[in-house]
Amino acid sequence: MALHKNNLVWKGYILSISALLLFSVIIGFARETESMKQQMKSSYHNAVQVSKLNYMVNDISTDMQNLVFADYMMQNYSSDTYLASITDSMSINKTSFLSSYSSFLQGYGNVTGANISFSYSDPLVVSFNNSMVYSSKLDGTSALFKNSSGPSVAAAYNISISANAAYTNYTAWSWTASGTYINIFYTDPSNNFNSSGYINSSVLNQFVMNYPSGSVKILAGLVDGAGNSIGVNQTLPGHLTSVRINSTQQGALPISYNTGLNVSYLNANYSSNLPA
Amino acid sequence: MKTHKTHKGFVVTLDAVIALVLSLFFVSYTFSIVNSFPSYESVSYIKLQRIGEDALNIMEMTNSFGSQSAINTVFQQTGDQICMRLEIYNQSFTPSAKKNTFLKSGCTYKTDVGEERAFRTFYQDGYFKYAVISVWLKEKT
Repeated sequence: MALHKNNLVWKGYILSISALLLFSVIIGFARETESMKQQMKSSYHNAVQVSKLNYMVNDISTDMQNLVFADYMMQNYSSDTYLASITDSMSINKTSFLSSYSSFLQGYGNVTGANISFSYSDPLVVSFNNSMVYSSKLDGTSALFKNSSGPSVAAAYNISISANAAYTNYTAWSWTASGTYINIFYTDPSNNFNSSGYINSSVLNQFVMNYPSGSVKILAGLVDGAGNSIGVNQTLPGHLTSVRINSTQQGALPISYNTGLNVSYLNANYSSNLPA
Repeated sequence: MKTHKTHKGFVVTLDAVIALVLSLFFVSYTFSIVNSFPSYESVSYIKLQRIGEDALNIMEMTNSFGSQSAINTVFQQTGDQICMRLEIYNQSFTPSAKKNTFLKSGCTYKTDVGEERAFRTFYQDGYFKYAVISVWLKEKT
């Protein structure tokens, strides 16, 4: 009888220990789940903040595209070749745009609960990852697509120019038998023409259109110390309404504007140049 | 003998009560953990905000902010259960700066509709403007 009783005590003791162990495992599991849940919640909140930040940076970048829009399209995957295009809205007063935009963004920050600071400099620059650089003066007098790498990177350009006044006459540059291929599309209220051919890219070539007040020059070849470049100059801002330059280039992915942007939203922060 | 049995019964009952209390505690603790996962509602508001942001993004990319028909086209592509209201503000987000309001057809806006809002800035006719979109789920009829 005593042995039986002793057995029962042991049995109860083992059952209690087993139950306690089981509960301990359940508690451990629950705690682990709780900590996983906290981590999930935290990374979820971080992801939402980063997504919101990305949305705001994209929004600002899209607004900047009203001034200078850098676009690209893959042409040949194996040779990493793109059709790169830059569209410059010469009719917008860039200085006034950027100055107003800078203060407008303060309001945008207040509305969205973000802290935004935006800075710019003259000229407005868009950098590409093949070391090509597009720069546009804020006073609208010049825009230049500079190619430091030579014809191996861009051997041809299409340049489309729109003007708001009719030219009185124009002087073409000397076309050559080989070199960099240039295709000019010109439009104004009374004229439009297309002119194309090769130029010597190691010297400065000027295609000049004269207006009753001032002139517009297309510059190609050796411009501002860089060969195989292309750009425009106008003596009085206001003649040109838009300039669009297309070219087939290797690795021509637009990277960023030279405008500085700092956006903080809760714990997420972006501090760099504005992506183009 | 009787006292011994009474004591035994008392111990068994106490044991059962303790076991029940412990079981209830563990069950309720486990349920509290399950229930504290991000609920559908908390995920849903982010979804609504994303839909609003996407709609605004498309409207800006397609230059739709000035056109009722273009705005309606974007509205209609967001699905039947989604309601939207778009407001355009000139230069500042103040009541006096509000220029236009567009409501998705088939939707009724009420103040307690449970909407999520998204903002977008854009440049039009020489001015910087705000587009503010409110997105909510259509009430089941």
